[in-house]
Parts: sequence; structure tokens; C-alpha cells
Amino acid sequence: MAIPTAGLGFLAVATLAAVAIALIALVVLRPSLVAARGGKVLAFFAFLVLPVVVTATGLQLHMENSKSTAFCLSCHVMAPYGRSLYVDDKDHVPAAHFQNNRIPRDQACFTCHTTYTLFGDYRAKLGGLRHVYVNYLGTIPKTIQLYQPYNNRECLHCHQGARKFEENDVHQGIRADLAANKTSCLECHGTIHDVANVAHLATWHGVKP
Amino acid sequence: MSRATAEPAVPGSPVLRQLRRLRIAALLLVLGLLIEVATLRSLHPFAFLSFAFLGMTLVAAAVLLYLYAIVSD
Repeated sequence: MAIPTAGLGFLAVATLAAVAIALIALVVLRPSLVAARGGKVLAFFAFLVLPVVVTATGLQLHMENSKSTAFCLSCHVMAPYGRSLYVDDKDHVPAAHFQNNRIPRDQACFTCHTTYTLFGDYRAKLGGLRHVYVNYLGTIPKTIQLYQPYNNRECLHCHQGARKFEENDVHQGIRADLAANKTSCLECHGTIHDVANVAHLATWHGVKP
Repeated sequence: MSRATAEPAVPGSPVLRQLRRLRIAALLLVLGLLIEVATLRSLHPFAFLSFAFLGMTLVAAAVLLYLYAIVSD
């Protein structure tokens, strides 16, 4: 999986930071420069404009990077969830979506958990901080559970309007309930991240080229 | 900052105070920018937190100190 930070964004931020540091060094080593109007403008760019641009762009890159599957699986506790994406069983919902490219593989977690941690409201963001705290300093629970029941919106975002979904007799009968979250998609499609057994399940890692 | 050349740099003078603030701001900025760039090489929540709570804080403090330096004295 490609590391997004290896792209142009990182190079741009690193270059801008290097320019800012060089200009800052120039201003500090030659303070007489800032006596002139041009020097003042130079210092303004070095001490304010460039650092703010670097920080804003860097924050944007970090936000993009944190959508990646590699980011989510970078914590050891998430390893079974990562393995569950490779389970060789078409009834295993996350694996079927991942292996059949129904979701982008490099953003697999984020695609189905769009309100999680950094990407939700302030409570979700605080939850993200709590996860980091628990991961390093706390006690990781044996069973990791969502804070809220899984929202059908994440499924319907793609499936609503799709022919296979709409023409299904069962779906037609409960369409309104699904849309209103009264009936969960998981009631029928309940094999999700089976982390308790995933270590013993056969996996599929694609066709070797 | 124009006083950098207009006044003699006697101890405790506004010029020296301003220069000292600029040097501190420069140090904070360099540290903050290096941390920000270094964390971008890693795909890990700890890298994001380092960026947000360490890098951004240092850069913000440096920018504020720079602004204070150019408007004070």
C-alpha cells in the first residue's frame, strides 16, 4: 500500500519548511537586514506567512493520511480487524467489500466508519484522543465496541438506488425501516469483523501477478 | 525593527529585547517546523498528536512572540 505522505504534498510541505527555516536563519544571523522595508517583508514571510502555510498544509495532509487503512491498522489492537478484511468468506461483510473493491482498499476503514474519531463531531474527536490514551496508558477492552449502533446510512450511502439492492424482495419490504434506521442492515448481514475467530479463518490475499 | 540599526545595542535596550524575542521565536519556529515535517513521514495516531499538540503549539507560540516583538517597545 502506498504511503500518501510520500507524494507531492509532503515534498511541498518539506520544501516550504526548509525555505522558512533558511529565511529565519538569515534574519537571525543578519538582523540588520530587517532595518529596511524589504527585510521587514522578508521577516514577515519567514516568521508568519510560511509557518502558517506549512502548518495548515501539514494538518490537511495529516487529516488525509488518517483516512488510510494503514493509519487505522497502525495500532496493534486493530490487527485482527485488518486480518478480517482478508477472510476467505463471501458472507463476511467487510471482507467481501474489501476484496471485491466495493470500497477503496486504501481507505477501507474510513469508508464504512465515516463518523469515527477525527471525522465526527467534537465528541468523536475526544473519543479519538481517548483511544490513543487507552492504547498507550490504559487497559484495552477485550471486546471493542462502537459507541453507537452502526448507522444504516453508511450502507445506504452506496447501496441505495443500486439495482441489486432495490430489486431484492426483502429490501423492498423494509425499505422505509432501513432508511429510518429502525431495522439494522446488520440484522441480516451480521457477519462483520469476527475478530474472536479471525485468527483461525482462511484468508485470501489476491491473485499473484 | 528599524531601530536595530538606529540605536546602540546597550544592555536592556528595546533593540536587544526585540532581538532576543526574535531569536526565541526563531528557535520555537525551527523546532515546530521540524516536528511538523518529521511527523508527516509517519502513518500513526501518535504522529498526528505530535503534529497537533507539539508542532502546532510551538509554531503558534513563535508566531505570537514574533507579532509581540514587532509591535512592542
